[in-house]
Amino acid sequence: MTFISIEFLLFLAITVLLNYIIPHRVRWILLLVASYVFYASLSIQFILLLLISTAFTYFTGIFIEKQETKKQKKKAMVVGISVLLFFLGWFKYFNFVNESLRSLATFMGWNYAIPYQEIVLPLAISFYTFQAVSYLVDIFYGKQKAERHYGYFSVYFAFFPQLVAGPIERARKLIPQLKVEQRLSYENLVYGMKRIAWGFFKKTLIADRLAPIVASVYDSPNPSGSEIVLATILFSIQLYADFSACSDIAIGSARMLGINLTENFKQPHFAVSISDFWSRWHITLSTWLRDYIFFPLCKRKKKRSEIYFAIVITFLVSGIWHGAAWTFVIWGLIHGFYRVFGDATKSYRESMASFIRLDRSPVLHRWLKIAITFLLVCFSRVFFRSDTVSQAFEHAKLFLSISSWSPVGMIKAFEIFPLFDLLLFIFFFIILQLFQYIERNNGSAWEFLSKHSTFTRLAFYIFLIFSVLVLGVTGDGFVYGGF
Amino acid sequence: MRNIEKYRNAFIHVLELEEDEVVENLELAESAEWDSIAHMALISEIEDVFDVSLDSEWMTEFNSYQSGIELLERLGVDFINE
Amino acid sequence: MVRLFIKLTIIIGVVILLFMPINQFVKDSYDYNIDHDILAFKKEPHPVDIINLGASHSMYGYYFKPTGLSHLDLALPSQTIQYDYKLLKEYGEHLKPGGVVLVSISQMTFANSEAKNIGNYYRILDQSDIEPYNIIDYYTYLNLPGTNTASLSSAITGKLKDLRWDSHQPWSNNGKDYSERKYEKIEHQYQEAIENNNIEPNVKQLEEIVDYCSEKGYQVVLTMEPVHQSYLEYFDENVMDRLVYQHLEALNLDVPFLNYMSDQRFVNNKEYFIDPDHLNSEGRKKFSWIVYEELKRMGYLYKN
Repeated sequence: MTFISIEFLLFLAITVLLNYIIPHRVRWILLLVASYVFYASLSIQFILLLLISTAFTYFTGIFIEKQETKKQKKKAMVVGISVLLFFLGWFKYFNFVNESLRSLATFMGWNYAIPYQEIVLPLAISFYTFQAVSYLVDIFYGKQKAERHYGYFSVYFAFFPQLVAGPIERARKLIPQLKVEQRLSYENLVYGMKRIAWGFFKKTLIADRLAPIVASVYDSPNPSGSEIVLATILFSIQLYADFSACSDIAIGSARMLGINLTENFKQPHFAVSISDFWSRWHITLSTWLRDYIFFPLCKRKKKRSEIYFAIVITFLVSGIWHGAAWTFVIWGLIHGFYRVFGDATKSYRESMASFIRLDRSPVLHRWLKIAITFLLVCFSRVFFRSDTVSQAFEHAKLFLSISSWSPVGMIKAFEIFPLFDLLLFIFFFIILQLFQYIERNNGSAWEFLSKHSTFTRLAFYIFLIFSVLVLGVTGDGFVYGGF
Repeated sequence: MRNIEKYRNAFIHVLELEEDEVVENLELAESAEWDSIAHMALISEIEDVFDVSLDSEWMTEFNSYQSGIELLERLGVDFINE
Repeated sequence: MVRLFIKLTIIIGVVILLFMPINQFVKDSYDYNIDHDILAFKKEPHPVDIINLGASHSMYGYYFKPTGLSHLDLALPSQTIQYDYKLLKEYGEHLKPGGVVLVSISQMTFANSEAKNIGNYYRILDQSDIEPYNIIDYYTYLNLPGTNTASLSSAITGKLKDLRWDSHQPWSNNGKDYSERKYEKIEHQYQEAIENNNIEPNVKQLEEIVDYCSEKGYQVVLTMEPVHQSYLEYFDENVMDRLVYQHLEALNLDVPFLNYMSDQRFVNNKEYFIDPDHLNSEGRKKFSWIVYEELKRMGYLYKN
């Protein structure tokens, strides 16, 4: 069952209810069964792989801890990580590597014998593999004690709210929470429900509403420049709404069980620099990459150029993690380049800003930085969204040409929306922006809401639920009224 | 110069902050200036200043001004008497 | 906790209250009831002389009442050839001996594979015929259509026909804008059909329909309804050959094919069309007489 479904809401309600009825010492069984049922409903053929990965990581963790010397520990850790990454690599990247080698061989006139294999990607493997790797590395560093209770460890490995789309959690944050008895709390239930409702709002009223519109441009053979520009900006909004909604639902669901997951998004499109962007977008992935790829790569490195190289490699890994295609690799490299360029030119840009007296108006300066960062991110997303590398370059050319940005062209480009859809989208987008504005100035929009009368609050919740119920698109795209 | 001052100066110098800025609350990735690249430069500076070696496992421990102090104390740096 | 329960009850209560009129609005809307003719027939079936299958071109193409023929229209918007077959199997028994089945072929007949609005079929076919069948979708579509955004949207835009961009109006730029959009959509659909190997099964399905008809003794005739000049500009000979004719020819069916797509009596006559590829009531009447005369001339409908 996907998050956005009646089945999931019922499943969650039953799990939460049972969780607080049964005694704490058996709650892990409930959560484990629920997590496996959840995974099986989405991808039953790979549940065995999940179980095997869990067992393997559990035993490897204990094995690492039992080793006497640092060197032995390291060997055990490396073997453990290699096996996990091998599974990930096989299922996710075999065809990518195979087809790329085949293209290369064809180009060079060699004979390439390995056929295309029909390999299906197991759901969530990217997420749980990274989580498992963090567990083993932390044991090696001594930051984490190997978990001996197989039940709690399995729940950590497969915890249903965050299994499929993150946030990626560290064992030392999640396992202790599972072991503590969570008491039924009004605040947790209510907060959880609000987060879930807001997640539904973003996904069904913004993300899934935008998806077919963006697809109609990116899939069409000759989109106009302005259409590409508009569709890319809309895609950024769609991606944010979609992904942050999944995190909202994950965090909300866990909170109803008394568990606090890590925030994954902090209004990333309001970042003032690329570095700031990555501390606001998919935060748990960024910190994972920083802690387990970037820092180890930077060990003993003092020179700026070596650090820059590590940055590029880290973003390359990020690109590859996102998908087995050259478009994602290029996307990663673009961000690597942005980051390095940004850091290298930092003082130059600051002196430019004071030269043109921009630093006298901090508000304007800030919004300019936000706009530029957003556009840079959008440009990279041309590669993220395009299906093939050649299409991506075509689209990128259109994105970069001045004529695509003409106001007349841009206004005409809005006709990729049916008019009625556009009005609905604008309405809900404004609601989203209001919510985010309140969040920026008041910390938490929910707290802000609590300060107002019960009537206002109830009205807002009713509005949310009613809109999702009546106007929420559930992934099936949109049919223009008529034939 | 006392150790705590050396420590504070390292931050001011690497993160390019003003002399009178409040540094005690700084956190990695929360503060705009203290990003991953600056973090490496900061670690480099601290290793030089205090003549210690920060292994990768300590790099993530060191995620705030305060935790840095604790980390250095564990590595033998005395902030109280020196 | 009681507080929470009361609040939830209020919220759910108000949502239900607000939802009921919306639900009713959708239930009464035109698009939701697009199957009402077939539904009426299902309640009171009677023998018919002629049945037409197909998608919207066919649905808006035929009106045989003035000719005295008893007619059953089994065509629905975006209908796939798979559902053509299912409907024929369900209702074909009412065709009189010597009756005619018009199988309409359009640009998307061989490319179309995903039934866009299977809700249309819930009431007129058996549950077991519905593919893909999802029990929650079934009950919510039938009882709570207000939750189906597509239905609500059709209902609203149906009432507010002017709520469209100028360039989205059917006759904007003399029909060329509409035709261009439709062309791009169908080309894309066709490309996808090639990638997903959907063309073969559709072609086979047409053959199955023809075989079924001959088995049952139904007279089957393939048809293609008239369109306006602006549409022909995009769907010219070459395009039609690629999308449709090559597959038809490959089948080598021994049935007549009445192709009125570029019929001179309609091609430059906007007044017979709602939009570049659908006839209006005037056009439908005229076209039905033409088809009737042609069928008679070919020796069909001799009982009349």
